[in-house]
Amino acid sequence: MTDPVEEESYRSQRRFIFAATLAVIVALIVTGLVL
Amino acid sequence: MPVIYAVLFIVAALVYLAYFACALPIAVISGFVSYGLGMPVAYLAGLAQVLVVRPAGLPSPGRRLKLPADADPAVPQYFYGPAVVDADHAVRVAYDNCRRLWQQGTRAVLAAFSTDTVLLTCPLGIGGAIGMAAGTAAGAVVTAGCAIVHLLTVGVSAAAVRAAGTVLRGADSAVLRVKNIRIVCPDCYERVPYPGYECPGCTRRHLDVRPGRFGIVRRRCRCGTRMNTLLLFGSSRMSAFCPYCGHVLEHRPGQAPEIVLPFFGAAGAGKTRLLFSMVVQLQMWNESGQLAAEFGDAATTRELSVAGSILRSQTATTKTAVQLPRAYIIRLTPAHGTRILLMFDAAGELFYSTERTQELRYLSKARTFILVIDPLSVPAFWNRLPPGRQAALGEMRSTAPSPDLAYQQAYQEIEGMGVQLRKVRLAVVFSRADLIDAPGTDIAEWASDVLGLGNLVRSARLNFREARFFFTASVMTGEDMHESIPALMSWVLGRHSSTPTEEAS
Repeated sequence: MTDPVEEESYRSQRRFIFAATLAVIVALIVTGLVL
Repeated sequence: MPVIYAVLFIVAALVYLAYFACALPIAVISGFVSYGLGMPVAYLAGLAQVLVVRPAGLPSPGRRLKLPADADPAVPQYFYGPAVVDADHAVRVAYDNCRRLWQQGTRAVLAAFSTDTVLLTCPLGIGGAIGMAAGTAAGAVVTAGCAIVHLLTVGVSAAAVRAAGTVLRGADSAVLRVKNIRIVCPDCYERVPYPGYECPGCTRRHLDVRPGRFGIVRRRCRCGTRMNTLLLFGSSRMSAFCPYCGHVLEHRPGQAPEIVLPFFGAAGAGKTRLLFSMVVQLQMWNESGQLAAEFGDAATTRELSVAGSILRSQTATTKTAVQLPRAYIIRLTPAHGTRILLMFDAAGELFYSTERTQELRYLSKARTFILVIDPLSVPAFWNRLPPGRQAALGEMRSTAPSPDLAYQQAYQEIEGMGVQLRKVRLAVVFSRADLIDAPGTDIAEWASDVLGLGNLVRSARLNFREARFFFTASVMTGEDMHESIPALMSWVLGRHSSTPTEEAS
């Protein structure tokens, strides 16, 4: 059972972690391709 | 005919070999690409499910964040535990996604060997199996790389957030220290490092709102209401309470330095009346616009709102109850900066025994003390008065023991509480200036020679950083307070803030 207050509180941090992870992966791929 | 069959067989075999030679590598490449890319994609899809989409059918996380039973009723900060729970959850969901992908591939390979056209599909099955194996190996490496990036992102973010919390917590403590703000509970006398606060939404009590496990800049109560975590960010606007005794701190502590001002002396010396006269003087300064003074809480308002009428009507103050006193709180805003004045008026009986005086732990928090002495209670002085004066003043005279006893008792206990007396100031206030002749300019000399309190005077001068002697009358003439009261207050508050009398002089 998820707590709606927790879900709302963590939404932005979760999205930040996902976006940051994707950004780092893309950056690594681009760096690898360039090198 | 046999030759024709042989030629046809050879042609068919060649065609099949050509098909095999094409289908096998295509299947290998397809399998390799599908699993080499599919596994990281499956991992990222799991990550998106847990961190962004959070669909209704999302499996439950494998682990739960456990909080102590006595933890504050707040939502834990994401990077103080929930992020790790999410990381674990995402890995589990991603693993399930990868396993489903692998199971689909395995079923497809097996199906290639169990169809009616097995000769046609077996190259695809063989190639698919080879491609799956190689792709899984490569995909596992890439997926592991994605997982490492994800976990590093969580770790670095958590470290940064926790460091920010530590820095902010330190900065808030540093600001309090620089502003010389030390909070003392008016009820239990404990030094409060930080007040607890009630949630503005549901009044749930949060013992420690400072940056940490439940929030850095703000925390969220279980009811969903956001609360500021630092005095720097305005937490003092919320309703505060003492984390030790639970009493409500209405006076918004933490915004301004506090002046702890204990009155001590024998019973009937005039401590309460002196306190009342000081309060009335503050009210008069407030009315004339020389400073802003307001009662800090409802209890103070209830007790002190009658001070003016008691002094004007020359009514005797009620005997102070022999119990641990609660501070009277007054918020002062002179020309420069606000101060919170905490005045403790304990019954004189509490200064007659070590056990009772030790209970007055606020004494260890004060840097200025007021000793009140009724000159009429000193036998050496009383016995020298003519019988007519004794008869006239008999009713007003305190029958308490010698003022030396209360002084010595309090002095020893203050020192015993670890207070460095060389950093402490003492005002020795002789009351009844309206009833007896003025002692002249040197009150200390008068106290030594006429009252016989030489030991007390020497001890006060020797042990305290500064000892000043006052001769006061807690009376009003018309609408004016006796001139001795503003002089005393100027000295008492002078170290902490500029008072109207100082500014006038």
